[in-house]
Amino acid sequence: MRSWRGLVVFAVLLLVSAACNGSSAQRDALLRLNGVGGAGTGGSAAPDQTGAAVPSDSGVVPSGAPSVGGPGSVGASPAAGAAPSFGTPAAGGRASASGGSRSASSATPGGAPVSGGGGQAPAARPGAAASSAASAASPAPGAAPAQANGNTDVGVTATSIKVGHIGIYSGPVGYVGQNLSLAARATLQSINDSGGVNGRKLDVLVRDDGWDGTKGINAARDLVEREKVFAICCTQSVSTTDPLTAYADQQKVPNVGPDGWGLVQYGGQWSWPLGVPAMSEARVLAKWQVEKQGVKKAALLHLNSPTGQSFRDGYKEVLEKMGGKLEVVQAASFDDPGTTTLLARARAANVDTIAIYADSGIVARLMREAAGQGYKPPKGFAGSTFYYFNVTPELTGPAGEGLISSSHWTPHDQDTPGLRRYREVVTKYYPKIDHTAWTVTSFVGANLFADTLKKLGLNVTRQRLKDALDSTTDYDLGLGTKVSFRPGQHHANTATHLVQLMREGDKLAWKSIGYDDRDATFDK
Amino acid sequence: MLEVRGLTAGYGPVVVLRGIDLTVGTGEIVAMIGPNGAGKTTTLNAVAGMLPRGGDVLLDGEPLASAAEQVVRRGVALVPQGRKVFPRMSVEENLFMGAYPRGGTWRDFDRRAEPIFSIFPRLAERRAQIAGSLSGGEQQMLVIGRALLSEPKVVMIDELSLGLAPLMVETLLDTIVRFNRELGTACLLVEQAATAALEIAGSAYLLRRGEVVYHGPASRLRQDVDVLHGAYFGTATGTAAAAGRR
Amino acid sequence: MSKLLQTVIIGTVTGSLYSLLALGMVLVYRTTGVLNIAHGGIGVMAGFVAWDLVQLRHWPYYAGLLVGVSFAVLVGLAFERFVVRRLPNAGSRTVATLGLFLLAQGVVFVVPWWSNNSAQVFPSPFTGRVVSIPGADFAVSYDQIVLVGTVVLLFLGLQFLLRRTRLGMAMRAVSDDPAASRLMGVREELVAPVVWAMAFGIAGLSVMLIAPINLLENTSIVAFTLKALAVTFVGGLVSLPLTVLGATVLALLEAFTQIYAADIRGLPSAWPFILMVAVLVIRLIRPTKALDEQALAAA
Repeated sequence: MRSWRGLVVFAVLLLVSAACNGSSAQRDALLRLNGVGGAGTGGSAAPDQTGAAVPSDSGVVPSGAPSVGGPGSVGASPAAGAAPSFGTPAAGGRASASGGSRSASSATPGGAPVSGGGGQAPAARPGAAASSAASAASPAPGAAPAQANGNTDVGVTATSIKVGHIGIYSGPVGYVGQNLSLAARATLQSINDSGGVNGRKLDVLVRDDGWDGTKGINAARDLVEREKVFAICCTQSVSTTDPLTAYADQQKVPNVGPDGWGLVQYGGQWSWPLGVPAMSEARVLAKWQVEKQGVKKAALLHLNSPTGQSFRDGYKEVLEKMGGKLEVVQAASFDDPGTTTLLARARAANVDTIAIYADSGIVARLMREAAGQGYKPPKGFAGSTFYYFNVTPELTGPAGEGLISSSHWTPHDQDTPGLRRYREVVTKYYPKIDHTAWTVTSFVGANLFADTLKKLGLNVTRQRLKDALDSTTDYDLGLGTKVSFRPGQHHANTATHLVQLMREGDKLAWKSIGYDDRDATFDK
Repeated sequence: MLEVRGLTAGYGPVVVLRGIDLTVGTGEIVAMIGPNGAGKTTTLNAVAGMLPRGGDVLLDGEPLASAAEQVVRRGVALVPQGRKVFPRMSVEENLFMGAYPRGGTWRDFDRRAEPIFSIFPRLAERRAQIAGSLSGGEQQMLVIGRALLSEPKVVMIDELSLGLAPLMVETLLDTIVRFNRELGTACLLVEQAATAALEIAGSAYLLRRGEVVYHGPASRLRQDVDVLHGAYFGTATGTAAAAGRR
Repeated sequence: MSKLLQTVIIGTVTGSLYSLLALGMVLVYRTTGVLNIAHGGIGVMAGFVAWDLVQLRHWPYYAGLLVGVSFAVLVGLAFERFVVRRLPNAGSRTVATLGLFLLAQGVVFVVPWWSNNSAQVFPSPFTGRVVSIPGADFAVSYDQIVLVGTVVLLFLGLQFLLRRTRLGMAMRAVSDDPAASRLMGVREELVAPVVWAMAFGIAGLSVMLIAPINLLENTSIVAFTLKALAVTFVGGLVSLPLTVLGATVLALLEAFTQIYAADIRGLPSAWPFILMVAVLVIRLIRPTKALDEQALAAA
């Protein structure tokens, strides 16, 4: 009588634990997303300032419910959506501006609502695009009869190019994830505001995946198959971008500037990722630690995910090739980070440094605990993802001082022309955006997309875009990293800029330590 | 002392009791017998406040509330059918719960329990044992002892002997006589197997189909088998011959 | 030697953490027969309420703590009044706690200034202060000492409550036999709310004590709760001492395997299941009744 009860308990336990493992896998993916894992604009911000956040504004269509009347096209919304995205609900965003409905209205750059319509763009879109665009594109009709409307490929008209973009606006990480999407939209809008691409405006259709890969792929299918977008740009929700790689290849739709956290993305013929793989970051980090810090013995804590394992492998490979030894390796899960035992083992092995691939929460626990025990390895703590999380210093508190991490681009504490331009563009539309390594990736992706399109002239086709992207050489926006693609070799960015948490007043802030290097393993 | 007049009760639309009159005098032992389904248990539950009821229930001339927790505080305790000990509590803790309605605490527990332990020395021996692991007879002792700890004027015992060995039933009847004598607690004893209860009871009631069909000295029922059979088999004034024919 | 001492200390602290959560669940099971799956989830939600007040609104720490615990208590009262009372038996109530667990998780996710976080810092007034252990090359934080101390107090307090007080006895009687306890003058409708309020309050307090050590964070605290559930099993879900013993044994096993046998991948995380399977097997081999009696006798 009792034992069956026991069995029920056992079954429930198994179920719940399975559920938790699921959520932990999810969180690993989350970690791979930019900036997530922390308090967004900061744990100390009062809720009334941060709470209003995005979802309702901006005309984003939840992909779960493909709109009947047409998508909320956001060709131009940033200007309208700017304030509300971080502001108060009163600002309302476009949803209220367009009568509280996210129906067919799509704001053009000028702000006039136009019919979103599906399929081929109507020849004459009422109010579509500024007249300057039409005049700039005027040679097009004469160029070739087949392109009488400038309709050179799916989603392209004389006056516009339809672009799909999938962002994270809702779901568990919507609040933080939106930053990446807003940076991309700001950049695309700035391109439109400065005349578009050879006279054509980018008609950007935004979808929200709620940080859910299934919704994301449904959104992609809706964009590609129903809306007939020309390409997908600057999508950085890793839940979506991993499966999107295969979908883009299958549909032969360009997928420009996804995050590249999942290694699978580098294998796509139609995807051009811009992030840096964890393995490359680990290699650069290990090299620096041996060369500059004189590290000989190290301990490593990594999340037990494919990405975490690739970090471990890259770190171990370089460290041991250079004569060091990885004394302690411990896999962690979000359920059980094992920080306490890692510290005990690291101390027993008398290591020089502890390397970590984990989220800010785990590294904060580790460093706080070490400080509590009065322990710090002689060369401190180092890892890869913490600069993606704006909250790391808040979570670690003073214990975090000295932590090393890395960025894909010039760190934000620098003042370079490239960063100044980035900030100018992005903050013009979204003043309160939270700058991270990944918002820069969005900025680069949107620019790469537009600049490559410009090279094509008026004859814009998917295949020509692919060819042009595949011959990208040393694309440089002055952000510390040059990007090059080759056909079949899409590891464009392997640069790693090291940063360190240093004391600034009574707080800790990330500072560049002036070291950057790239992982040449992927060069061929 | 306990007076029941025109008691009615039932389960939803099903009427079980059709106006029971019953009296238990101070210090008296009264037996209530009857066939299965006659309404004996329903009568006890209705008096104890475990069931909604109609009619009057008076204790010492005052109406008795209809909520169980108030009934026990007034001094009417029920020992329900089926030896309902608290199975995961020890003997001692079960008895503690008996004193609960009297505001008992562990500090005064020994004083309250002392007379009970003297009536049931086996409970004293097993005071730390888990009640669920006692034998059936011991559990019956425990529930009776527990009821007595609420210092009742009347204790109503439902199916004392059900499922117990005859020897154990004898022992239990002895203890009832003993506490009745020593503590002056009146007792309303409900039994289906009539003979045992009739041995110690002064007066007896015979129930059939929710009605009292006989009331008189227990000794008469003990001696006149006809009356008893009549009650059980439906001929209220049946004869031995009639019973025999059946 | 110092490594050994470190391992024992680590095991003891972690064992206290498991015990803290497990004791709250044992309280509910023992007094209601319900397996409260929502324990950790409610704790995290209450923890976020307190964190919100202390960290975001700059309330004094203890005021925030009090409001957080009160919030959990109110949730417990509401859950008893509107859910538990309307469900017929312990089985369906257990399922209801699963629903409540999901709800609590949802709330933590939905509040925008809580949800986007994987973790939050929730320091106590003691955070940062440590005591060095001589001979161990190791320090123990005040937060950890407070945690261990709370477990001792909670254990003694619950033992006293359940065995020596009228309220605790009434709780147990209701759980054993509601009808018989009515005959003893116990009103279930007055006792049950106290049980749930107390259990949820303990859940909230537990998480607030764990948060300074662990960060305030959903996933790992829920994972701790699952381990705690595994150790409650050792005590048959009713025995407080066996639960604490099971928690300490589990934590020591984990610490020793992680530190001394780190190469055996997966073993540390397999312990809760090994422990549960072992308990199940013992129950199948030995008469369960005798085992339960032992558990109860010790309880």
